[in-house]
Amino acid sequence: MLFNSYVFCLVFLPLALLGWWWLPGTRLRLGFLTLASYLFYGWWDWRFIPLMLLSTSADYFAGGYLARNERAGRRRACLILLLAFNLGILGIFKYFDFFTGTLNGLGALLGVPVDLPLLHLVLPVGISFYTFNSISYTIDIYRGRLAPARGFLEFAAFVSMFPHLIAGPIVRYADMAPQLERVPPRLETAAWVTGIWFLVLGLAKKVLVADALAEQIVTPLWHQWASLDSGEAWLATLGYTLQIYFDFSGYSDMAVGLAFLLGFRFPQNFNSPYRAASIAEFWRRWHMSLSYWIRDYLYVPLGGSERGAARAVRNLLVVMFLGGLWHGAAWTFVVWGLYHGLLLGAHAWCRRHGLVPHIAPLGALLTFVLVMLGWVLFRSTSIAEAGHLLSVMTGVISGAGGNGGLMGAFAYPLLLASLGIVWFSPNSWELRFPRSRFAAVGLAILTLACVLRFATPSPFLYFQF
Amino acid sequence: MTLPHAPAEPSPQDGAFLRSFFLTLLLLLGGTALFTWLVDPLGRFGTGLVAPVITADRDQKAALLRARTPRPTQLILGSSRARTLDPRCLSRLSGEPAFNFAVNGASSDDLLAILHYLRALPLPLLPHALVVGVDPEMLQGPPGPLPGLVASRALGPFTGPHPSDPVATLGADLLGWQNVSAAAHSIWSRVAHFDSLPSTVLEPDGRQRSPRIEAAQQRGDFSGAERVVASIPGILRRYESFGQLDPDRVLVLRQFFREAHRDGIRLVAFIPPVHPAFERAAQATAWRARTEETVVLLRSLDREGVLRYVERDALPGIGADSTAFVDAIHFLAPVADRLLESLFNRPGGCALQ
Repeated sequence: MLFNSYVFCLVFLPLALLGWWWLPGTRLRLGFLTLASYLFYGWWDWRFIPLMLLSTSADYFAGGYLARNERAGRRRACLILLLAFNLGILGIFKYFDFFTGTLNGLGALLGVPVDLPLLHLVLPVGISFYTFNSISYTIDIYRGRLAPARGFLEFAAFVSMFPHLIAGPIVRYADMAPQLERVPPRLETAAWVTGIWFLVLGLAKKVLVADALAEQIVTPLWHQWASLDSGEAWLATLGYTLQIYFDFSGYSDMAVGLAFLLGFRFPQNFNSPYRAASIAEFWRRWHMSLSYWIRDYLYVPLGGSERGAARAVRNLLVVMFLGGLWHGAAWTFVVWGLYHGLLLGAHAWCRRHGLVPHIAPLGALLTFVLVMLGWVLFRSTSIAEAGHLLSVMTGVISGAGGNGGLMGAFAYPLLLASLGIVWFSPNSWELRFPRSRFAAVGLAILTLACVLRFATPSPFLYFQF
Repeated sequence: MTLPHAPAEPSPQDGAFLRSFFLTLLLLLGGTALFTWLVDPLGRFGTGLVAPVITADRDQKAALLRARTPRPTQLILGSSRARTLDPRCLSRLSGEPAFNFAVNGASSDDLLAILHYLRALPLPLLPHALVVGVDPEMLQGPPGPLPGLVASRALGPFTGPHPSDPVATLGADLLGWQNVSAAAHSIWSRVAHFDSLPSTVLEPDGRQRSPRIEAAQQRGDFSGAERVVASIPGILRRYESFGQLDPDRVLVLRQFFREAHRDGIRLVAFIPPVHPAFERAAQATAWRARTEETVVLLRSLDREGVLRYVERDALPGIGADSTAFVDAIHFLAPVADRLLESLFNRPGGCALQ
């Protein structure tokens, strides 16, 4: 079920809120929320409900075992087993065909016939997100930083909670546990107002900006990637740079808004990332819940930046390689991750040697361009496509051109307006939401404008991960 | 956890804000849904407050086809440039009942979707012949089926995954932008021209008529020549970025013709004629190049024995008769009849016996 659909906005959400706030008692309400979230998930494909239930159960019971057991060897074995289980599921559904396909291709290249069968499995939506949610729970208990969930219902509600289930933000049980234990009996009006603002702004970012950017610029131009000239390739990339921001940050705002309406608080996931003055700052502002997850559960355990510059660069490359792979089972994502790893490593090295310029606008512009170049890898369907586009953009080769007319009539105003928003306007978390009647009417009109666009289904870009 | 949470700072205005928001939203959603339901621009509810303007005609044509008796066995397909071809004329030429299923803004995906739709009807319809106007513009555009086709209740399901749950269907019917704008367009058209005839109407056999133009022609004040000249730059501009036939759409077109051929359907293909003034103005333009590429494509299918392609040279020239064109590329009944006669090599065959 998409957030930007009639069935979600006009049926599911009102009924879910009604049930949630009407039912008495925390356990009954958590049970209802879990059921509603499973329905929300099963609407997409009911066959993957048992998979999520299995993953949830394994983490819940492993968490309990880790908390009860004090023998280091057994605890370690349990953790390894659980990580293998979670990552195994992810591996089979997400990466099996990628690795076997790569091996088959490598074999063919070397003249050694390797013909491993491909599974062609459908990727369960949101699996990367809920797997990371669950893994952090188990690791935190193992590290002794978290007490296990009070009951299965609390944990199942945490994993399946529909606002974050499909595309984050990646929430941690440590953050949610006190909220799940003390569900407020009624929602404060201030929380309603904030939740509605976040929800509608997120919806507008997605359906009025991101989808329009895709329709007016990105889809028509990228479809002709082989014949784009330099200017067109830059326009397509700029369009995608803005589209992915409005799409994903729109989703995150909606998730935060929905959480508010249920009486929960989710963490911030975007903080005007295109204003970042360095690549390191960019990753502190973009998909923050993933960045911090990678920092806490991968980068720091690998040694972080504690053991010298070379080790820090290696660690950055490793975690960004894995981060790239997390996004998708394709070489384009792997190279994208490594590219960012290199940028982060170079930045760390420059900072260590005092070579980072302290002119913020210059740094922001440079970071923006470097991030844009990275999105070419992210959006392309093959390394060859990305390589061609990057060559055209940098003037190494020239494209045929003549595709400018494929863009929609509003392409340029849309680009300018979107750039204005990402660079100069306060983000959703910086806004002080107006509370006047006039603002309420304006927000209702904005909601209607979004609803009118629901007839054309448009999944969020991050659903594929 | 180091990531911040948003505060929800209370304000004395919160209650009034929520009341105003929900009330306005309810009124807006309800009002919009009621408006679309009353106008019913696509004939989904049977209310039909005013005559709809034709903005999304795929479903209207599908409904007309289903209601047609005897069932048509000769179909005309194509874009808006084939919408004025007269099924009565085709019936006279073929001796079989005919129907015009040409749709506005068609792409090759439409042709394939229509073929699959005909097969999937409760009583499958396998026409004996298809007369297909292949407009080069059917072979361009953004990737994937175009929005008008995807949104079609009848044809959309044949383009890939399509919302099938009743809420999505009802939501799209009452609150979808396409329907709401079609309803507003219908009302505007009625208000702006309340004392005049509708600009276009669909006959039960799918043919498009233009009552306003017909009336102007009868009065003798139809300014066809001006319309033709005025439309040329805009049409040529549309082609400026049309650098090549889209390979995916070409594949779909080939698939359509081959599938229809395998089904035993006789296929006649042609490129709809344009006004001579446009032909002259479009020398050495992308329009000319794409048209020639389309000719090559259709000839290759002809050589395969999949279809019979009628060369452009064999189609009627219209001389200086600008009154037979609405604009540089859309012709009216006189050209349409002569075109069908040329396709069947039966001069005068459309005349009443």
